Amino acid sequence: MTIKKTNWKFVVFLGLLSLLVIPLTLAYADDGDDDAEDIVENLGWVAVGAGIAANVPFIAMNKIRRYAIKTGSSTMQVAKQIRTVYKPILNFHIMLNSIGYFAGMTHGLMLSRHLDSVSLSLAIVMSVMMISGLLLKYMSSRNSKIFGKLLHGQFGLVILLASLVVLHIVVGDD
Amino acid sequence: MKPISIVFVLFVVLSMVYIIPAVYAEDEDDDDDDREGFGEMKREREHQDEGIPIGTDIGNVILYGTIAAIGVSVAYTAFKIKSTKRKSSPKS
Repeated sequence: MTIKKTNWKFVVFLGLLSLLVIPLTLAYADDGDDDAEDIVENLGWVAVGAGIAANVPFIAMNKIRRYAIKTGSSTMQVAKQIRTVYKPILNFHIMLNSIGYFAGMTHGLMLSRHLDSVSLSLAIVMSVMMISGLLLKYMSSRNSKIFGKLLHGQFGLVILLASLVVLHIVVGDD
Repeated sequence: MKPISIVFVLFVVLSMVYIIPAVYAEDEDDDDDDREGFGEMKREREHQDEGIPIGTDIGNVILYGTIAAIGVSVAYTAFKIKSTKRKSSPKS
């Protein structure tokens, strides 16, 4: 109980410290400097890179595991092996996706003067995915866990997110 | 890896992501004040041609389409949970 309390205090402390750091960067953003704008744009690429690195291996691993379980006894060993590395890969997925989300949101906030409908849609979809992920990870009630799991794994939302990212890059490059 | 270690690593990486732009932004050249305003106007003009602005037909289709897709996904998920619950609960 005491360890849990200390952990939460530490998490709150880090959160508050992050909140103190963000306004500093926002104050310098979008102030007419080309170099600064380039760096802010690079934050968007950080978000895209983190998203690809976090999701492609995780989705591939899940697909392989499901296939191995479905096909039966000969591939059961593969499924068992995957099960042992599932937790670290899940943590990697959560960590990189969080980095990607915050990098993307910072990129969006810093360039909010040039907000367009694709960026807004992208921010909404990213937030929905993030919230459903948080529901899945931290909610203890069975219903909210199932809800989070179903929503987080919706193929339609994943396709929507990927197409909005592509559209955002294409529109931004023009 | 414990959750607290994840949070710590996340904090370090996030801090780097946030601090690096600020450090670079501080190096900006303030000597050329007259040109700065001009540059800003030019950039504003450049940005007016960028993207799909909110309020245009295509912009509205994308935005409302996204919101509708999310609404449908949430409703479908809720419906699926409810129907599964109804099936699993014993009939009276």
